Amino acid sequence: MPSLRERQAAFQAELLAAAAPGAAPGLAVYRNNLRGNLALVLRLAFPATQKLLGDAAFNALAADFCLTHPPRDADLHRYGATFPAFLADSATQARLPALADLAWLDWSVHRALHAQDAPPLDPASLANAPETLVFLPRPSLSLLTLRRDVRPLWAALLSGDDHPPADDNIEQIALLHGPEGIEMHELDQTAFSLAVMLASAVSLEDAASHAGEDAASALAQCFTLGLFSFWRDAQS
Amino acid sequence: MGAPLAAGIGLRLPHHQEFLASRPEIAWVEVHSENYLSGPAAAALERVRADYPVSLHGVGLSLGSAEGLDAAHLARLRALAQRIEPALLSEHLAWTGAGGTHLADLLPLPLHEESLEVVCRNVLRAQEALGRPILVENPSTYLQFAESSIPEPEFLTALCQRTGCGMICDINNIFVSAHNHGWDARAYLRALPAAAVGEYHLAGHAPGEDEAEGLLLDTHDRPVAGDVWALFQTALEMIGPRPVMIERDARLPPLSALLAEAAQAQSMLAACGGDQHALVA
Repeated sequence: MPSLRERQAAFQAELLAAAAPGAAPGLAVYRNNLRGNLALVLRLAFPATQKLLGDAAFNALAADFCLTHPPRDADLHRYGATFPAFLADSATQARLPALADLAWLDWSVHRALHAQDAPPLDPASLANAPETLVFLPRPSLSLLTLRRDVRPLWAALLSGDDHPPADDNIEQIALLHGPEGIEMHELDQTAFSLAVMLASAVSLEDAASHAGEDAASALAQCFTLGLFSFWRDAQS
Repeated sequence: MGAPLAAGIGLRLPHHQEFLASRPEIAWVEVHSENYLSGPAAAALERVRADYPVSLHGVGLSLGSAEGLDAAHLARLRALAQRIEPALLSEHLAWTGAGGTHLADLLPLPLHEESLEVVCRNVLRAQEALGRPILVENPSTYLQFAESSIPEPEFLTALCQRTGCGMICDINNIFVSAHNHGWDARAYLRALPAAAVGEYHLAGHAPGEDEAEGLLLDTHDRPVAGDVWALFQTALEMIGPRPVMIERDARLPPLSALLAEAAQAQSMLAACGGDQHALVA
């Protein structure tokens, strides 16, 4: 008799494998549950992407994704972080060039909506901060580089309006949960690079040095938008 | 603290706003723990908890996992329980994945001495972390394992005896599994540890199609079936009145429809000695 560990590993492998002819009807129920449950999770996290693709194409891509990238966490709100990259590598991306950018935007909004957010940093708290300080980003913050500006397309898909084609302009966006809901702010190149470095725990001293003479105005932009919640001394 | 000896409903996210606005006359509610681990949903649940007893019903702890429990997930459930102070805490006799994978479903266990030891170990660990006994729900299953050697009610009885946990008696799950495996549902009920039953669940099911033709599926997408109401009456007579909950997870009807089903359950409970004062308006 197989051990329980062996039995469970084998059962899971059967569920994630292609359907075998003649398999027990009960196994088909669990296989269908797996695909259906995870497609629903992805549909809720990627609503605009689902509308762009339509039900059939979305469900087919979701089924492929969930079998090759099954969840690693029981909190299914966290499932789907790699779905945009999966879509970017899919054949469908060539037919729908806005697909992956739209999925990144969907995922960033989903993340922000479920984040246990913290209030923005009070700049006055920096009065006695050391030069080696590092910032902690707001939990809802995503810093996105979109190869196309898909924001009008995203909004139109969700509202059911006729949607425009995605703009070819590259956009660098800070997306977070603000007091009135989801906020999306365009950042210039210097402010975006500074924000990315600071959000990656690069010290303010090093990030400002990298940003050059525009560092002060870039930092002011980050503070005005409330991108960070706390600071700490990197050396403590 | 326990749930009132009365009927409650499963509260799902699409009903939150209406529920909070209308404050319906219902004795208690149950939610899926994993939907409230963070973010605004947890804050909304706190507002519900201010006025109603809340039961936390988990679907992701994987009590049947041979690899043991996920410590991070258990810690999140503990934090949620500390925040909500639930009337009841419950999980399932099932596993959800192996090797760190989580398959988002309640998967069937072979029932034998090794799996009983595994589930007991996991339940004891969960109870230690959560600081209280939990209830473990009997599953609906669509296949059985050749190596199983312990009938499901006996497995649950031994689990309750060895760990001090209680159990949810899911009437629909018994009905579905009895159909799928040719069990006698009344004999199943008779074999359960009545004193350990802390809650009943009632839900809808559907016939399987295509490859699943001939099976019943625990779909939670329609009202409780007449046969399940009848089996609930049998359970009330054999086991006695307990808190009972109407579960609906798909094709959600208006909140009023769930409350009407809860009223029916409440009437049956009251006729059997449940809380007369908790009748749904």
